[in-house]
Amino acid sequence: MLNEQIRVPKISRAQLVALLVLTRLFILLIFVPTTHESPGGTTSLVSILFGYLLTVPVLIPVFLLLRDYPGMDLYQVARQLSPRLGKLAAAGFYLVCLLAVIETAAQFSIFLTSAVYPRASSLWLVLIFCGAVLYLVFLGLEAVTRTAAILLVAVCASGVLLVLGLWKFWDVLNLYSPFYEGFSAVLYSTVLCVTQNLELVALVLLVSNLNTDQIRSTFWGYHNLSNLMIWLMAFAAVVILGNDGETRSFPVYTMFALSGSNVFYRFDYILIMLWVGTSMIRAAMYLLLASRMLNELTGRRFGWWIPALNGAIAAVAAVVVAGDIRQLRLLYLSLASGLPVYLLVVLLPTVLLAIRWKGKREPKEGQA
Amino acid sequence: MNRRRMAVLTAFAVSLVLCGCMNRVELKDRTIIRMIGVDTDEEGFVVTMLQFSPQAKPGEQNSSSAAVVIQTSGRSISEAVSKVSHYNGNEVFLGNSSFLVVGQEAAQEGLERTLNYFNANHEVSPELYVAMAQGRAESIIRAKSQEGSNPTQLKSLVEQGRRNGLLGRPTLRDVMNRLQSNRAEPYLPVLTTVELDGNEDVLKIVGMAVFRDGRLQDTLSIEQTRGVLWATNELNRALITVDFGEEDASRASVELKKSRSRVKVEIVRGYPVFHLSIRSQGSIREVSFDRGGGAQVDELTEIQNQVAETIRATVRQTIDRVFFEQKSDVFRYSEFLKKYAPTYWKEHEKDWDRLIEKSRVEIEVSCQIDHPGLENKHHQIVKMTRSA
Repeated sequence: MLNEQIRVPKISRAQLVALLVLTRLFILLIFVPTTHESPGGTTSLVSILFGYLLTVPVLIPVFLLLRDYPGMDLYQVARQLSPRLGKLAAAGFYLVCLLAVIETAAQFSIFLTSAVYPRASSLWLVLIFCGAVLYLVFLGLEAVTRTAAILLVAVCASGVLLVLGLWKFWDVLNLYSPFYEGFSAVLYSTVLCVTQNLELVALVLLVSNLNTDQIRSTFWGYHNLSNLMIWLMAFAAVVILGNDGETRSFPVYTMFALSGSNVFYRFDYILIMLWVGTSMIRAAMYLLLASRMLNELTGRRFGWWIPALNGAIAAVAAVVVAGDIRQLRLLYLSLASGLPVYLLVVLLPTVLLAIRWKGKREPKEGQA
Repeated sequence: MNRRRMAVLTAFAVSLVLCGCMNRVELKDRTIIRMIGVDTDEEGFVVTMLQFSPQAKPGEQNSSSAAVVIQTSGRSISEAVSKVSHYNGNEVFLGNSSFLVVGQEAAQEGLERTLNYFNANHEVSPELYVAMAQGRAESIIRAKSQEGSNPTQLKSLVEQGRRNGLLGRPTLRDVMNRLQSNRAEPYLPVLTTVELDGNEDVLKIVGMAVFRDGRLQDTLSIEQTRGVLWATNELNRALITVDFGEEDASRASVELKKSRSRVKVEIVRGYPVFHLSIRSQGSIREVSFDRGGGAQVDELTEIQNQVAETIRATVRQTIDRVFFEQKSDVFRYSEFLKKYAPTYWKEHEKDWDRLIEKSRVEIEVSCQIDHPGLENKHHQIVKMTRSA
């Protein structure tokens, strides 16, 4: 029954855009273990713009492929063109989605136990979080996307309030040349912007749930809105927090705490509420996709047990990862390294295009 | 079966709203700190805290509060703060702290080692006011405890000081921001205690402490503090009294309500020249001369010029002392250089001290007084009659 709920539901273009934008905004609120190695400040501002542009050519193969298979997602296309490659793709997608659930749960726990409730038990936080995510998965994709749309409106409204609360702290002296650290720093940061865009993996799997064939416009909706919001938040962090922002573990949280001290008393609690909602939606989306891929991988429908099993695996792994920052670093780097996006969103569709092209040529040669 | 599942899930979902109850600490089990003073000694840090201690009795509608001073010491601030629990077993809560005072000796040893604890503490607001004590921070906290445990009075002292041009932006976030910068330096307001009516100690703002490499370098007077604030575009209001007229026989007090300063950077013959322009706007509060008061419209230009010259002289004196003599970049000129001449700055950043010696700061001040005030020029009749 659960699998039917996961498979069948159709969602609108706007709902998918809202879901993907919200899950992408998760990146604003996480602890990045490589902060001191990656460029920040104004370099990141120009990198977001370059990353926005670079993402488009990277996705050309996948769009060329999906254009010819309307209503299908990348996994379904892979299975149709090559059943063996389809299995391999399902395994890859499953692994990445499960790792994303683990990372989300671990980040959720780390944020709450370091910035909000240092005395809280990481174990219980992760268990309660995973339980709630499982419940969301049980409700299905439609419910998750509807909740995401509501949350996105709340995120936008809180963003406006944040700006209103922080306008007096703006200091444009913090805006120095984005190329100050050199072009290589900009390039490195640009590549990170593309490779850390894990929601592209979710996008190529969720297109089969769209009630329309407008995949490109869905992508543009997500791409424009998510990059705009990330850029605005990064800009605010640079002009408001300045040098200090680069040393903060959670700069966006610091901004909310700061805005609270100005106009809205304890405004940081709004961020915590949004953070909880965003984390749950992100984990639920990836858990849905991981469960779907595991079903495809095994070729059987296990119903409710597959999400429960994945949820349990994610919970145990997240408890381990949240308890050791070195493990989180490994997990984060494995997801942000670019391999998931490169293998599943660039290489896989390119190989599939080659197989399809070869398949088209062989009958023609046979006819000749 | 489905109903049972739903019941279990619903119960689980309801438990989510109770997550705030995890590891809760009752208010009575907290030691709520309103003000903190940090000094140093041979062992490490001496932390003096003003505790908020409500004195409400059952059935009372309005509770009073007593000021309790707690002093602990330790090799680190964390160690000293944790020792508070030795007194009553309670945990320290810094979420309500609104003021941090750093002792002069602690400031001399380095501001960052003192502020890091507060910057990394999740309970402390980034808008925590930071000041330096002239002497030991303990004396400021103890003086406050005599007045009562209401730190809003101190907060209001600082806020009024900011509005009246006695202070800059002395918050934890601003200070940390400057400490994290490559070369810009922080400054802090300096507080001291003065005896009032022979027994009670009250707090007074006496100037500004400027730092170099995060260590206390110099303390400035109130007048020089204004010079810094004019140069850094942080002065909201100031009252200036100038002499004008023939042989400077007349005196005008001008209230500057708006001041705006801008810095432009130019590289001339291999060295930076900072062009500082200050635009002030104000109105006349008082004009007096030997035999009368008030001002005429055609005297406004002369008063304006005198005010501009006074501002220019104050800023010049401050920049000469702080930037050129002490080599303390509280004016953030290094950041202007990084922003407007990034290539030059990258090449010369390590040679900043020598760059300061070779650089120039050119100051241009203009003042706009658009109204002579409510009083027209008038002379004392008696004097007029006599001279007639």
